[in-house]
Amino acid sequence: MAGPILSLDDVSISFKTINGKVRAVRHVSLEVRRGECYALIGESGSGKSTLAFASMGYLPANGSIDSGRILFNGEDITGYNHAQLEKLRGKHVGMVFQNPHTAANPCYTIGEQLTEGIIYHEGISRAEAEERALAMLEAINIPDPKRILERYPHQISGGQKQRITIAQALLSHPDLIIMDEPTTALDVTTEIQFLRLLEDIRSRMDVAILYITHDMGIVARLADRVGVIYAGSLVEEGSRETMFRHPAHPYTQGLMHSIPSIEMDRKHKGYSMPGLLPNLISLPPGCAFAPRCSVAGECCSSLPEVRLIPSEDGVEHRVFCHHAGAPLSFATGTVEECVCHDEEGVACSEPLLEVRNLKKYYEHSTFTDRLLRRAPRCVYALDDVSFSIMPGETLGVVGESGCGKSTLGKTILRLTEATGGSIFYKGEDITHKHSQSLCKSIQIVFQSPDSSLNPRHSLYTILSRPLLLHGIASGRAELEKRCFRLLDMVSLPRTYLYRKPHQLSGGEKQRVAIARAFAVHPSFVVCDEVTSALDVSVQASIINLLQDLQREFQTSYLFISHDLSAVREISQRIAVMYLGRLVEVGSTDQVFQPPYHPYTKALLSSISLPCIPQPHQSILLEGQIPSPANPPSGCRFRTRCYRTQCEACASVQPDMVFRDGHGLACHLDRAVLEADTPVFPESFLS
Amino acid sequence: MSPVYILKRFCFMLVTLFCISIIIFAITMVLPGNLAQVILGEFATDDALRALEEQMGLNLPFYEQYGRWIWGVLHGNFGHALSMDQPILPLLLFRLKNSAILAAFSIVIVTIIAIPLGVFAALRRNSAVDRIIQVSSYIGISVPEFATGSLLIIALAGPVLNLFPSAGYVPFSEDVPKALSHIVLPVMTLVIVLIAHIMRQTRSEMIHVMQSDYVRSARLRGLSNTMVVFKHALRNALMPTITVLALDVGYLIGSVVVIEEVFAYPGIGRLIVYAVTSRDVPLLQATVLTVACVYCLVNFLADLAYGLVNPRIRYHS
Repeated sequence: MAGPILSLDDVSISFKTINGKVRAVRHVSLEVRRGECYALIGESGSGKSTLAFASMGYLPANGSIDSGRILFNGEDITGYNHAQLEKLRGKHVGMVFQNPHTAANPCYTIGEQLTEGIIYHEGISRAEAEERALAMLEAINIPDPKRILERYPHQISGGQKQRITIAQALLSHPDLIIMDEPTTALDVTTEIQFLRLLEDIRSRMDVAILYITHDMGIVARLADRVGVIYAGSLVEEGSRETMFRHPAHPYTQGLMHSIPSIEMDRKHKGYSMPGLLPNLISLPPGCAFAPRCSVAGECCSSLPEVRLIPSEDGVEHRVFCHHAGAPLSFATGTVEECVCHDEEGVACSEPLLEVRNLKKYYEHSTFTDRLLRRAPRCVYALDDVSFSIMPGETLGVVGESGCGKSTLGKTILRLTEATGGSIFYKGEDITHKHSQSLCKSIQIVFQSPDSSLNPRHSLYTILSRPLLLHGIASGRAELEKRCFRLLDMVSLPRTYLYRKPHQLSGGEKQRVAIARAFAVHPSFVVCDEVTSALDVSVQASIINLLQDLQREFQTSYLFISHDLSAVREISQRIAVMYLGRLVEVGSTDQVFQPPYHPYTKALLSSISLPCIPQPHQSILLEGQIPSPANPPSGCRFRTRCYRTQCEACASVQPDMVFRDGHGLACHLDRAVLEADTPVFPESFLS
Repeated sequence: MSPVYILKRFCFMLVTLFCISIIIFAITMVLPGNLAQVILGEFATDDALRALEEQMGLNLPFYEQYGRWIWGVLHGNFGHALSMDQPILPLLLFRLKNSAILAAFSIVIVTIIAIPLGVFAALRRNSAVDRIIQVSSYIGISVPEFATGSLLIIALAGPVLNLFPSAGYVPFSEDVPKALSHIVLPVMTLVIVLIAHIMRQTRSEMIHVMQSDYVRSARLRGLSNTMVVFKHALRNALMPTITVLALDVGYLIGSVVVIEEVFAYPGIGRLIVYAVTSRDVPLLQATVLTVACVYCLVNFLADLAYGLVNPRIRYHS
């Protein structure tokens, strides 16, 4: 067996803060072997990134390694000086970060940034370094590498940037690359290209990868071995197969069950793990997971020893739990469809909201343009979008970033004026109407509660503001009573009322944002990527909450997300957008089964599922998403379409053609599309 | 840098200057007091007043008066200074040159001292050295200019250490060492006043940039500390500093009256004050417009410097 590249031996790391010592990593031992891909998974705040940075000898000034050794190729790096660390980082370990947009210096060309490291460490000439950079870009199939080298970071796309970061990490021929959530900031279609590249690199180069993520689908695709970290401790480790098929630690099992997944029965509620990550300053003795664990007993107040569980494939399976393998129940209730009735008990047939040929063009003309009377340049953010939403219904909107889905939400809220088309609410044209009562009926929940909740206000102020504004309640006593009810509604303890947002966890903050939206009993709520900023273990609970509220108040949702699994779970119907236009609309089952719009099929097939092996083939979309300022003629998707095209594709914009309420905007024959093979096997979509 | 970008910024500057000239002219027009009255004195007859108004074009509509004035200005004719009875242009150029000398020395020295200080303070954030740098630069900016100037005079030009002349002016064309020794004290005072501006701006931006992802990424690529700080961080941190530098140059040209007064230095600031007190409207217009031109020009240069530092600006035009 190959020796380990990186080996952590009983490592503990802590940070000094004003509130006390944060014990971010506690007694972690693990090793990454030569040429393998080791996935480290855990929630945010679990210490996985701290471990990664510590492995490169990089800790902030207030951090320190309290115990243990970090061995790189058998050498302890904890005592390394500056020069040794520089050499380690520059030659032996590469790193890929989460956000490709901020990881490159905007002032220097890609070429400059690629080559400076090897010039510095290997003392080679600039010309030689450039040659090597060029060869590396070619090796990882980046189109037009010569020009890329001369470009500045802001001139290339995110997916491209992330590939270049990989080239950068590989350039010094390192033994190990550490990747910290490298695809979190990317679209699924870009993510799949990135993952393919990684697979390709692993098959050709002898490099080990430490992959940090919370995305189980990616773990299932890439990893050889998996380590699960909870509150700074490794709780379980084993081969990918073992971890997915026979997870033994209650936390791992809970994590596996809380992933919203395509294969889940939509009628079942998603499982969400109860409780919160413990405070790392005042940790209880014993197992850190015990307070959230359903099988915890008295023995759990002592630290669990490592247990070895025999595995089918012979790869060591370590679990740190007193009750490893104990049977657990993850049964959840079922979701009742929300059917809306009027006073006489007749199901509603009139749509609550209807959008007809909605257009939003962002025009911008420069001074010279106006002087020369040139037509303004347009960004076609929304073009001829039509759909309707019934009372109590959820319409999911999916598409890559920049496809106009957020603009759609904003335009419906009339935060931005529509350029054309109309919006009807309960049959009334509200396209250009602004009134207090409409604001009350139509609300929004934003992606990041960190920026949508005022950090200086207490929850009381945040929640009572809309009540006061719309004259629903007044007077301290009444407002307080109402706020308590709102907190109850979103399952937050009443004691939170005078807390500020920063004292809450991410999921709790999002609950506050939802409570604020529901304070005025809206009949329509735009949910703009509400789960994207949250941990997997929390996402399910937010979706459950939204579904519960929907049933109670018969609210309709426009659920905007790039996470197809989450959209599938909550939506009755789904709309797929591409470059400002709808390409497909239909019930959730219709969209997930043929006939597909070619774009929908590509989107669906790009999902990484937490299954081994992946049950589906991925379609890689060629090229970049075109600019909405200069969309292709005819069908907007034609420049990336992988199907044989007809003449009309390049010249005529396809109309949305409906059959059984399932609309497709594609020139291809419906029969051809119907004959398409399903992306997921029948058994998957129950 | 693309010529389009430069041209755009240049046109922008011209438009700004045009607007400023209108504002300046309009303000001097609505100032209380009739120009003819000022010239002829309190006891002038109505006829004499009217005749002079006619002669000077004061009875013409606003746009015509403005047109005549700006036409003259564009041809280098700023008119006559009423209070001194001599053409304005040579006077103005002389004062502008003096102010420019003072400004140039001050800004160069401030840049050389304050930017490294700021970087150093940022890297040693919250240390004793950082605190000392911050506090002393604050003292420099908070003590009134005349106090700093006077203290310097007492310390360096007083009876104990008579190193430099305490006031006055010698042209560089006459005697360079002597001219230099005359501007040492005013330049010192200005530097003390301005260091805090530049130092603080550099420090805060540097702290911000040092926490950015690309600096972390540069560090984790194994680059040396020197490369991380000076190549990756400093260049990005300089943008706001350039803005402040440009504003400071404008300030140095037009608004250092107190220091010119303390050191009896013939700069343009004192000329403006003189024009105001002696109600010399043409001189006032000319001096204020000159200072405005300097502000605009410096900001234009700052725009070009942005483009040099940051490629995103360079390529977005």
